[in-house]
Amino acid sequence: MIFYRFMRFLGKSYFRVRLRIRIEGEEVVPTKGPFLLICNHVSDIDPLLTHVFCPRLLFTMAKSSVFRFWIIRVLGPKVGAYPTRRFRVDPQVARVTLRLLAKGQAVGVFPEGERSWDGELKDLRIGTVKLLLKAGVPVIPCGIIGAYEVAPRWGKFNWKSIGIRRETIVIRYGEPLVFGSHDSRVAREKALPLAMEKVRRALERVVQ
Amino acid sequence: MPISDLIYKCPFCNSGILGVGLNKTSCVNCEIGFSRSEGAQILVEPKGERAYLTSGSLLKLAIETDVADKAELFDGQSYILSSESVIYRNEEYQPVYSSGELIGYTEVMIEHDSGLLNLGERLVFTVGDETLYSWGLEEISSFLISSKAIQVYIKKQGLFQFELTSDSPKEWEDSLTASIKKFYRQRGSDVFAYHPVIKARKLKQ
Repeated sequence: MIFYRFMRFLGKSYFRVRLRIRIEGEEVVPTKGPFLLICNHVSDIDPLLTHVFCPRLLFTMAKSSVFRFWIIRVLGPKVGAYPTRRFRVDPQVARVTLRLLAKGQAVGVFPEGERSWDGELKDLRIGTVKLLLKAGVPVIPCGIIGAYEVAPRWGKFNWKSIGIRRETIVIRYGEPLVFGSHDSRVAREKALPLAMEKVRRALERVVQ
Repeated sequence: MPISDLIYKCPFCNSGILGVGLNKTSCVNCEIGFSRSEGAQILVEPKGERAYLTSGSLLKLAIETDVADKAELFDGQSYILSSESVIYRNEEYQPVYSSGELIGYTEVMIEHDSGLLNLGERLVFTVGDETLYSWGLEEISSFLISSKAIQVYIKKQGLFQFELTSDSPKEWEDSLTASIKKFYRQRGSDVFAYHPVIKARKLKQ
């Protein structure tokens, strides 16, 4: 955790220098106990922003393909990243997530599953919302506003050009959603349509 | 990713585009230029007319609409899309650990061949005159973009990755989406999810 905290310090310093970071609604983030942070995903820098500026140490799912590089395989887990296979139902990622939550940790998820091409919210992944239902912990929506303008998916990503105009990025936390625990598959399937709607609306509110 | 991954064809005349640089591209037919301006704005430079700024999402929508139309009008002859690519196959998984605890797996991709990836009524990979793989669209379990590649998960066979030499992975994603949607609709079903696996339900008569 010392390495993680050090990297967070470095990241925070870097982003504070390069960008105007505004954080809203931070007080809704629990100071202790498990929760799931669900974020919109519009840019390469979103995972870094959530890790660095979330008031709690955050663990997040990252696509499994990035762990092919040894440096990510070694350092990724040290800064809270763990792999998820995006093209199939991955029981391992659910197990790891539930294990982290059971230990009282905070877990970050990008329920769209990939970066948006146009800055708009994409369809949410059904599996992610089922996981929220199974976990039964508070779900905090988090909107990252302005990152698309800094580094859209179709723009050449370059650390030197990040914040060249010192753009403003707003990280906005919304009121927690509470779904309760849905242990059985039947209960999850039943609650799914309403939960999908609630999660989507919550994300829409925080990205406005 | 270069801008030509988003603007992979001209949104105005649907012709091909010519990548000029990572942040600039132009239409081979009407010669309109597209370049990344401030933030997520795109500067459109029509030949002989005044340049103007527009959002990437508007251009994206125009392109996606044309790709969907093309898939709808496809008559089964030849291919909708062909791209030079290198095929990789996922043959094993490598475990990822954190403090000695298993936290997941990553795919080990093995390079196999260079050839042509073609999308028509089937997804076909050819090397020269030889067809190495040919899959029906119903065999595709899911597909997604990974950097400059399109990854396709085939039922009972696993993950294949096609590293595109010059074409846009988004063009492949859009074309596969439109073709699969049409494929299931022709069989009386509606695709309601593409990830992590394609899911379709019967349309009510």
